[in-house]
Amino acid sequence: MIIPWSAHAKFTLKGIIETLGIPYYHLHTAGNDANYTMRVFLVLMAQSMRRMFPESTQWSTVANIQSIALGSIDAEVRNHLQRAERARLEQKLRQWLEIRLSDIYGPWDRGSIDAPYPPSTIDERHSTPHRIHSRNLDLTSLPSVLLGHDSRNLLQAVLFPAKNDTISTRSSHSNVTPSATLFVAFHLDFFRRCNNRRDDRDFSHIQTAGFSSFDTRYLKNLSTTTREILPTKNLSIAPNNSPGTFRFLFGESIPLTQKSLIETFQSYISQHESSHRVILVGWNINRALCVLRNSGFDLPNIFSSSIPIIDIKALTSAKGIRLNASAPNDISGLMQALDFEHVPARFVSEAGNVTHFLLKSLLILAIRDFHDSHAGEDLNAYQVSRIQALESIARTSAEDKWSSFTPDRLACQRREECEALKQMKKDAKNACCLERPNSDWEDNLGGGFDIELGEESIHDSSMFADLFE
Amino acid sequence: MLQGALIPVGCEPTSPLHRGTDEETGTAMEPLDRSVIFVSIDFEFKREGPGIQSIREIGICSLDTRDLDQSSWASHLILSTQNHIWKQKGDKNEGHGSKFIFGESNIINSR
Repeated sequence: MIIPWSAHAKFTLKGIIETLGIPYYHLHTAGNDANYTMRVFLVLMAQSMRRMFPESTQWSTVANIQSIALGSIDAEVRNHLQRAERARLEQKLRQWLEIRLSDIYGPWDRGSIDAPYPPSTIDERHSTPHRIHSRNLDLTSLPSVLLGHDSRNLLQAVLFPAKNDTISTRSSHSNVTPSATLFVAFHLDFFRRCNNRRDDRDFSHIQTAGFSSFDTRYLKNLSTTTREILPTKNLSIAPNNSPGTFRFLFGESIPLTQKSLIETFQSYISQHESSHRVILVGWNINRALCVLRNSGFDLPNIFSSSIPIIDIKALTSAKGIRLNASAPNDISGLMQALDFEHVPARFVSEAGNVTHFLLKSLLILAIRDFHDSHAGEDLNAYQVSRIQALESIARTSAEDKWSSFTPDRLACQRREECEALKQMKKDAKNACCLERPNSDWEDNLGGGFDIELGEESIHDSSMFADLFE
Repeated sequence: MLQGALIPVGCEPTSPLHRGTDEETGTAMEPLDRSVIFVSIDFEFKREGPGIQSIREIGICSLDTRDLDQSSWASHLILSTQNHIWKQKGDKNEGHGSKFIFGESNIINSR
């Protein structure tokens, strides 16, 4: 084999292909290297053929093989550069499009798997919601979330029903006579220092889970307080230890376990399905459903296919309400947009509080939508009273005071006081035990003496008596 | 080793396996199909820590000797090259920035 090999050439792929005169571009890419390796093999084979078959009849084959090995890669490089340029332009176009869509439809979370893109107007053309970043996530096993437009229609039908009206939901594809409806808001809050990607989260990453419900039957009787109308539960991973859990405003947190989570779900949804139309409400709710599915929860058992799901975030986008562009997932932006400015942001970090305010936001959004759709019309007495009722629920503060002395905190303090009292009693008892040994000793000694001595002791004492005598 | 590789490319004219006659009937025998596919594989690794490496890319180039019979000897028609990028969790490389010049890289998502 005659290869002009330089003594200084390194025995590397680059050294070999340069020595053999093989054109190359972008080494250290596996596909390219494999191709160049094959070319090296062909050149070496051609060299062998020249050596083995000096007859001229074989040289055409040798020349052909050598032409393959030494063939130009200009066309490939050109195509590659065109692809790279196209990808760069596509990226720029995508960024430009996002900015334009954000201007038109409001901020939109790129990282979210469930953010409708773009909101309702374009989605309506598709039979299924067109979602971004769904490539890496299997959303088929999750219950479908209503689009913004469908959510608005459903809310209008449920909260402002006309006489002999029927409600059509996209998910059920059936007309149902309106009856009592139960809105169940559900939210998960995760550990802040969770390094996992959002798609990979499971139950172990949940810090708090919140539930809140609103029964439309309360609209007929508003004598009860807001707290009773919007019963809220907060499940926390460590209600006794973590100071973050003291921020739950509407009661005492429940320890979060898989069992307690599933039981709370069932108490809100399964138990009411027979008597109510249940509508699940959430913020970025597909994310929470993904986490539940990753955690092994049997979602089809929890959510029957007929349960409509409203994502407040999608609804907000459909209403054209602008949230904080830098943090579109931050629910405090929604609170500010809906004039819940009195709610300190620190309380919105608790899942239970979030669900409570989500339901209030839902009512406000429904009222706004009703006003928009009936602009310029005279409202009848029923509609006015209904709006007033919804307003009073949404705007009345159910929170006692915005301080650190939340019910959760007070309950914790109570528990701590009880434990301190118990400890004091225990200490006092121990102190008594430490003081009593002398008397006990005397008692025990005397008693023990009496008990342990018996006939033998008497015998012994008689022995001693004999000795002394 | 290379001598064995020469047979599939038609460089063993005297071989009885390649072209011969039936000893009984004296008729010409069909040449045996000695075609092969040469496959060149290359791996690129990613260093994940001291002594720990994982596969980042897999490149495969194949040459089917049957294609050598065709009239066109353009290298891009004879050599079939693929590049597979192993995308692990957290990797931001979507394949756009790949330097593979012989086509589009195939992204493999690790679950």
